[in-house]
Amino acid sequence: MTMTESILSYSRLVGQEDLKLALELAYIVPRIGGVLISGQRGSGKSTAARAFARMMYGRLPVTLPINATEDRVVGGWRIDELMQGQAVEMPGLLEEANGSLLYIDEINLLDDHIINLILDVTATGILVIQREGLSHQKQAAFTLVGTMNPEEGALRPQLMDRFGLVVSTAAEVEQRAAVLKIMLEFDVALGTLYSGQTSSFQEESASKEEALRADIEAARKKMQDPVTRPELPADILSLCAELAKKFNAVGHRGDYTLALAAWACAARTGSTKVTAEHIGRVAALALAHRRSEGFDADPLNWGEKEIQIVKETLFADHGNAGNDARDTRSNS
Amino acid sequence: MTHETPAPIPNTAFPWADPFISGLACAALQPALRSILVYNIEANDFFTTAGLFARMLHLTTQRVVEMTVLNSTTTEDEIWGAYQLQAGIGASSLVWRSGILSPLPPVVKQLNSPLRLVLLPDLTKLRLAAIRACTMLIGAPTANLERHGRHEQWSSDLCWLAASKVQDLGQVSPHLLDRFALRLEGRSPAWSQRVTPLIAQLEQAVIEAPAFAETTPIPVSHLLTPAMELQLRAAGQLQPAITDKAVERVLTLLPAAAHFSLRRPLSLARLAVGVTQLQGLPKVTCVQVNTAASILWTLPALPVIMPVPLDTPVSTQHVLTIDQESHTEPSLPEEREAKDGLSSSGSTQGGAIFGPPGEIPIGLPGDREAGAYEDQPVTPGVTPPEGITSAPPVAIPVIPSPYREDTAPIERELEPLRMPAFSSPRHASRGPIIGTAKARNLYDLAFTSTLLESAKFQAIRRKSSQELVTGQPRGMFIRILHHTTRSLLRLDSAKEQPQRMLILPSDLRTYRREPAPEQLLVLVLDYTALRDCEWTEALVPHLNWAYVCRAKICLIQVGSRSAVNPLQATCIMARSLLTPRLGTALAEAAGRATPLAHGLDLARSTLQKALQHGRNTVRNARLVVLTDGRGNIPLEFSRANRVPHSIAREGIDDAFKIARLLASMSGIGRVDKILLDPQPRQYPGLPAELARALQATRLDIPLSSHATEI
Repeated sequence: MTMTESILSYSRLVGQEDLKLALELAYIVPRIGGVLISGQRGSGKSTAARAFARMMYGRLPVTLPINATEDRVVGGWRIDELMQGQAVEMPGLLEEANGSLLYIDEINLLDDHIINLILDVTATGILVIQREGLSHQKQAAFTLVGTMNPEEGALRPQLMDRFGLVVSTAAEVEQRAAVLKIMLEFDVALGTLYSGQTSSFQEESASKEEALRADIEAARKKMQDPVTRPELPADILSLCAELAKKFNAVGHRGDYTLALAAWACAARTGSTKVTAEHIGRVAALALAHRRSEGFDADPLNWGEKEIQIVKETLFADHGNAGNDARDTRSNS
Repeated sequence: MTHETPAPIPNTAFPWADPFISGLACAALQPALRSILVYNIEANDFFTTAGLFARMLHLTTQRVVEMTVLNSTTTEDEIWGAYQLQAGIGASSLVWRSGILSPLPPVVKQLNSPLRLVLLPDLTKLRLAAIRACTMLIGAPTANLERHGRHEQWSSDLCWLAASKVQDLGQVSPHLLDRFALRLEGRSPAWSQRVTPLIAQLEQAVIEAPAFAETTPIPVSHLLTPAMELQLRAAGQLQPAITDKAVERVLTLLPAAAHFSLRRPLSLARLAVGVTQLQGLPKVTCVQVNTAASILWTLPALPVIMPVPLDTPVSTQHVLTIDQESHTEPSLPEEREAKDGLSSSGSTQGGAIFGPPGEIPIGLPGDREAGAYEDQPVTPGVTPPEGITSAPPVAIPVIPSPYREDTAPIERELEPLRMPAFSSPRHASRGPIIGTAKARNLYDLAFTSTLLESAKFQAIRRKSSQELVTGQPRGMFIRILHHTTRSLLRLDSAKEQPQRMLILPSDLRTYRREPAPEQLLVLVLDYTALRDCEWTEALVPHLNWAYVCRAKICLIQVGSRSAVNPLQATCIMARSLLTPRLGTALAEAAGRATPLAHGLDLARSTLQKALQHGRNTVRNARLVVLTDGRGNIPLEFSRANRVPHSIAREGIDDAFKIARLLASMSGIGRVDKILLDPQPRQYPGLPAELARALQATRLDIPLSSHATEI
């Protein structure tokens, strides 16, 4: 049994629709920026991130553990070669993740100086290496995916701002039975694989996953071609700006990310045009963490009040409460 | 040495009747359950349990099991690995030594790689590096090592066995605790079972060996018989499926709550699968779920789970029959008699009695609607069939939830898993070492780490420098080495001196230390004197001081209602003001006794230790005493825990005596002493007298509005 087989297939994830949507949108339009997955214990955060990376990139994500040393983050020398008198560089994780996904589990537990390194790179897209006699500048554009449990500490606002989308997960009560059954079936499948046999569960998962992957890949290709990408009307952009203003979103990054996310959502759902429904679907993901401090004590809390504001802003003229501006977040 | 053969387990009894043993067996069968937290277990019994679990793992996986211990001194380098210096300067001077939890070397992996069982004898004593490592690895399907030039990713199949006292659980992060899939109540083997291992140990002549070494064989044959071993091996071949009803049962036993992780019902379900494997059955039904719940909740009477003929009289030790051929859910027998001994036996498999202590038991769904079930007989140890609920039991004992952290008082810091920020240079040498980092100044240098860092570059530096000396500069180290090493190398080569190690500023490493509080606030709070004054306002300036200077807090509760022993004061230590337990403690109500002398004595011993003992003594402290001076428990009675025959002035006199001792204590000059006077109506001069005895500054506390109106 290989290491990748020990991760539950993305196609088998139960519920957590917002989480899955955020990961997919960030892949379809990498300019959105990364995804921060914040949630209570046992809500499938790490499983989802790893499973998604395996599905889309064919391997587990480049992972930055919380105890990583600076030489492995930024880059350094191959120690074994160095001791032989040969100076051979070893790329760091930020460079390895270029064009791919960089995954940080328990990101709020990362050392401050490592966070500073990541902040610098994500701000400019350029990795500057000035250490141990090395002097380089390299491209380092990656999709940053981080998971955290907010009970163990908040994330620095500067780092949270680097994430395009933020998802707040919670164990979905109505899905508990389905989750249990899937996990127990997966246990059986792992046991089968470990004994060297094939597993129908895994084969079926792989087949579903391939179909999903093709859909998401198609959406990404659609966005890359000006002819096929969905139309983005000017009034939709106005709605994005208005909604960001309603939530006192700091700076312009909120409107921009909201527009990109709505656009990607339209491509994902096969629409030819971005509509207010698409904005409503992604509003919480793009704006929850960008509200100014006075708005809510908990930056990731998105409750009935926020849902109402979205509905009134996006659908007031139509007098039609859009269903997709719904409870994309439950109250935490 | 001759010895008696231990009494065999009766054939009629099910060998897995002991919930602790069967819990371990289920964990050995189910990989996802191999992270076990045992409550309230003695050290020796913990290692016996480790030996037993290791044996079970060997039986189910057919792999050699290696045990390794993470304790209070395990460092980050020991956990993840580090470079180690060997004799000589050259290519082989540095070798990588794998850590306890890092992946095994490739050579070892090629052989039938051993399974590692990590032992944590006391979860509350682990260093921060170990705690963070456990949080990363326990329950994770993959692991990553990115340190000091090493880049590895591997499937982590570590097994975990940890121990903690229940009352200390509040010190541990719930994020870490949640990762332990299985909770078991620790047990000591019966006295009759102690003889066999004792004899075995003596026969093995391990008298001169350490109490526990990772390679010391632990005798477990008295706990795991050959029949059990065979059964365990066979059970590992089964892969039972779970019925929908069983899943519903799991979710009923562990209902959803805001902060409860989904890992809990998942663990219960997996435990039920393990039970089913032990029974040799193909499907997990509600019966097995109930049995698993019995293990998790440590119910006293675990029913024997064996198929019995229908006409066999039912006892409290049996459950209803199982139709093995069709493997349908069990049916209720036609005739049963209610047993009077239900409440005393505590047999609760039929009625679920689960919940936090003090709460009304949940029972089975529909149990509370007693009117509907009056005609149903109460049958002990019987699980009702699906869709049919039982009548409520006669008396329902309340059993603590296995997830004790939900109710443990919080004694940890606000963010217990975070690495502390770097200390300023003047605090550099305080606090225990938790790692090393690149040095930004010359304070608190870590010389060994600096040398190890420098050793990596010796070969390339010498090579580049030699090129420099011979006038053929090449390589990118030239610019760096030019001004610092050129003359040294020329000197060395000229005088044929031994080559020196070339250390550059970039090699310098400093220790990373856990911040050690330099200030201490000792707060003696007399709860019986708080009624008529605005005491919270009076405390605010002192709490502010403690917060700003990150002082350690010692709260001494005198006369609180929640005191375990009302005749004694209680001392609560907290690393900072942000410890949640302090808030709860400050809000407690007043009790009836006032052991003021004992409270002041605790303050005296706390200050003495903080000011005089050990390396990390506090630099200064503040003692705040809030009392009306009317202590009514003499010190000797507090210490002896005896109720005094009559209450006179002894309690007050003792308090004054201790106050005078405190005032004359060595080092007391570094302590600011303040007495907050609640301005009592009775004996209004007493607080002032006490302040004089204590040589403390007296401050009046404003009276509350209802007190001034009277």
